[in-house]
Formats: sequence, structure tokens, C-alpha cells
Amino acid sequence: MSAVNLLGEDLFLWNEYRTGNADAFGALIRVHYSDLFHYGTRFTRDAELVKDCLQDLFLELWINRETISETSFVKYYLLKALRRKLTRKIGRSRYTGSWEELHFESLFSGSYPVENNAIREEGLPELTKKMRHAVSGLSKRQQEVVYLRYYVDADIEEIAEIMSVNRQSVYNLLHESLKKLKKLSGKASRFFLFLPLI
Amino acid sequence: MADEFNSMEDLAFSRSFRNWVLNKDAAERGFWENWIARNPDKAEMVKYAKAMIYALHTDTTVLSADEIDEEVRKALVRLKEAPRYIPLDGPRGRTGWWAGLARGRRFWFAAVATAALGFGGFFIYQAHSHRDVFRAFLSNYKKEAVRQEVTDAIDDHAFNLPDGSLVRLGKSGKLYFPAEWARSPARREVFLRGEAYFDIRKNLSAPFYVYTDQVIIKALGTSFIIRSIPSDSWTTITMVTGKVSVYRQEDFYAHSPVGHAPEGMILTPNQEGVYDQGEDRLHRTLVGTPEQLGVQQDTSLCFEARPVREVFGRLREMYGVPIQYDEELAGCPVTVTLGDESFYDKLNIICKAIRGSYEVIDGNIVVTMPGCK
Repeated sequence: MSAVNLLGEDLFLWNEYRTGNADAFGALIRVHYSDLFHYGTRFTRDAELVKDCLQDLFLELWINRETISETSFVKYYLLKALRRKLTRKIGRSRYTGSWEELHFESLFSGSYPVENNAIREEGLPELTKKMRHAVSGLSKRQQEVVYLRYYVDADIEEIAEIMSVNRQSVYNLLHESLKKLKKLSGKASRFFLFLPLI
Repeated sequence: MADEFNSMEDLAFSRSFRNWVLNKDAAERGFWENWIARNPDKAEMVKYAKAMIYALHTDTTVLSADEIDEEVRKALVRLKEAPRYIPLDGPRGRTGWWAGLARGRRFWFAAVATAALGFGGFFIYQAHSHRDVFRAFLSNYKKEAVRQEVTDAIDDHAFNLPDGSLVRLGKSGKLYFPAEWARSPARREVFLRGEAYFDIRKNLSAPFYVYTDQVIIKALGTSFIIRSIPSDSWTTITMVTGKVSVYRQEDFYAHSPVGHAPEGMILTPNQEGVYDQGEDRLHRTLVGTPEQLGVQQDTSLCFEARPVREVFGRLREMYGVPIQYDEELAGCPVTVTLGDESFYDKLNIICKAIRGSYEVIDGNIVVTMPGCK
């Protein structure tokens, strides 16, 4: 998660890149690499494939720099492009073996969340675990929407753009997900209320 | 400001709240401690928002700074070596005489239709450009039963059509085709929604048509992948072997003179056709990584002062990609060794040897070279 909103700097670098400034392009991909890689590896465990895709994407962006439009949402543009690239790449190897449609695999890299002191101090390990369980129970598309909303700070419109679906479906996916997470919190709170009685 | 946070997600999706939860010393600390003190009724909400953040927060630093730097460095090296070529891939790729011609044609068509039929003609034209291909397809089979193969969201499914052609239908796909195929049909037809790989059995007297919501594909004996997802505004056709023609609806359904095939775009192996619905246009490009045709046992090739013609001829044979260059320089000698590099790497090696450069234009490789060395 890059913590700072880099809109202004992004736009500057983007415009510099479009005029052919390779250093600016390097800086631009340096800023976004981590997020792009993280997003890409939500679709496949093959980290090398994601790296290859990103290399191809960068090369294409460079080659096409003169025809690429000005965009103030550089990050979303890149995420969308990566998603499309992955779709094609994974689709490409398809006829050799089994199909592997571009499916958001999981929000989580597999490891459990850091159960740090903060969680324990606040008495939240139990609730955190349930929350995590509920998130894992969301459909892949719901997880992807939550991911983009949470990790990438994309709003409904941007998510729709990245995933190439309409806004209404993004809205529905997000709404359903949050409803599920809240249902859990309702149950959990009752659980917590009864706990002292036992 | 404080009133804006009225639900768990308002907090969890707030960057500032998240920063504070994950880093208690963040600059936002004062604000959030204050806010919580002022909103005791929202204590429960805060608790769940925190749990959500903890739950979602995984270690995102999967790559070290060094690894990222390495990837960036690699990218910069690659782009410095990249030759300039005309992009065709993007939806806003090229505007020029081609687009102008397409626009002109459409205008011409509309003009004639309007002149001939008055306003009625205009509506026919409208209906034409957004035709319901599915309905048109079904209306051809009013008497026969139409079979439907459907795949769920989990598995793909491979099966044979009545003519022996193989289809591998991707997840959440649908394929419609007449249940009974005449012994010697005039044409074989299917309708696809979703993604599928086709390996069409050769039958020169009965062309094979794949209808999709956006384009129509005609094949003889060949294999290719079509991706036509209803929610997408584009359709792609990726060639594996053989040759297909791709038609826009308007061209396909236009009344062409008897004996004249409608006007389409021809695709050969390793080419990809992309139909952009927004622009109602077909683009032709090369697939991201062209692959060798068939199985190659030994891919290493040594050319010792061989004519350029021979080197490119071999490359074309291996990948099926058309390569164009100045005929006058076809005899120029070149010495080059090719191994198992990718198609583009091979091209780069050859171009370095002849001090030339290449561009991808309309699914072709166009090589420019300064002359014999």
C-alpha cells in the first residue's frame, strides 16, 4: 500500500513519460510496481508470470507513449491494463492445457494476518479471525471489489473501469460483501455480550 | 467532517483511519483519538472497522525494494532497445485513411438506404448496425432443434460437434448449434457467448461460421480462440493455425452481389483480431508472444552469410507471421545464429545484424534496413 496519494506527482510523471522522458517513466513504474505486482499476484500464484506481464505492459506503454491519453488516474489505468494483459496471457496458454480463467484467487497471499500486539491489546483477535473468515467466504468477484476498494482506494467508478464491468454491478458486489461482513459483526457482538454471563 | 463516518466501511475505507490503526504513531493520531472520545456511541462501529482492517491487512511487501529496482532497471533496458513501431493495439490506436474510409462507407450505405426507402430505410439501417445476431441465428433453425452447451463458472468443457470439430468451451460459456447436422450441409453454424477454443474439421464445401453478439467468424479447417464475453465491449479472435475471416455485422449482413463474399478481415496464425464495439472497427495485430507453429524439435538455426530473404523466409515459416521488407535488398547477406529466443527477440537479433528496425503494422512485420552492409 503506498500510503500517499500521488495524484499530482503521478500526473507530472505521466506527462513527462508521454513526451519520451525515460527517467520519468522509470520513476512512474517504480512508484506503482509494488501495487501492480500485488494485484497481479491475486490472480495467479505464478509470480514470474506477473513480472513478465508487467515487463510487457511497460514496454507497450513506452512504445505507445505518443498515442496514450492524458489521465489523472494513472494508477487505475495501469491496474486496468495489467488486468487485461493477464486475461490475455492466461487465456493464451489455454489451448495447450486446461482453462484457467482470470479469477481473483484470494485477497490473501496465504499467510494469516499478523497477529500483532495491537490486535491483542485491543481484545480483537477473535473478531479479527471471524472477519477474516467472512472475507474468505465472499465470492471471488466480491473479494476483488473489496480488494480494489481497500488496497487501491479505488471508488465505484474506478473499480468498474479496472474490471471492465458496469458501475451497478460493482455497487452490488460491494454492497453484498459489506452486508455479509456486517451480518457477522451483528452475530459477533451478541456473542461478545453473552460472554461475560457464562 | 466527523459526521461523514457513519458505518464500519466509512472508517475501514478511510485512508487516514487505516493509517492510524496500523500505525498508532501516525500524524492522524490526535484527530482519531479525539473523534473517538467525542463519539462514544460509535465505539462498537470502530471496533468492527478495526477488526476489518486487521483482517484485510496482510503483509503487502512481497517484493523487496531491491527486487523492484531490478525489475524497473530491466524495464528501462528493454525500452531503450525497443524499436519504434506503430501501435495498433490500443482502442484509440490509429485514425487515418482506414478509419476515414470506414466512416465514409457507412455514410454511403446510410445515404443509399435513406434515399431508396425514405425514413423507413433509415430505421432499417439503424436496426442493421445493432442487429440481434442471436435472434438472426435462431431464425435459421425454426424447424430444427437447437442444442445448447453451457458451462458453469468452475469448469470448462471440451466436446465434439456433430461434424467432428472440437470445441473447448470456457467457464460461464454458452454454445448453441443445431442438434442435427445434415450429412452434407452447405454451411456449419454455431453461436457463441463467452470464450472458446475451436479446432475445426476441414470441410471445404461447408464453411464453418461462429456467430457472436459482435462479429461473425468464418473458418474452413483451422483452430483459433474466440473471446466474446457479453459484458465486454470488445471481441478478440486469436489464431492458432490456419486462416479465418472476421466480419463486422454490417458487412456480413450487407447484401453483396451474388458470388461475392462479404468484406472481412483475414487472420493468419499468431495474429489477433480485435473488434472494438465502441468504434465498430476491426483491428489486426500480433499476439503478445507469437508462438512457433507445430512442434519444433530443434530450433537452433545458423545462417552464415545467407541472403536476408532466406532468414526471413525461415522465420515466417516458423511463426506464420507475414514479414515484409524491401525486395531489392532481399539478397543482402546476413550472418546470424538463432536459438530458442522468443519471436521478437529473434527479430531483434536479425535487425541488429542488418542494422535495421522493424514495425508491427496491421498484424505484419515491416522491416526497414539501410541497405546491404
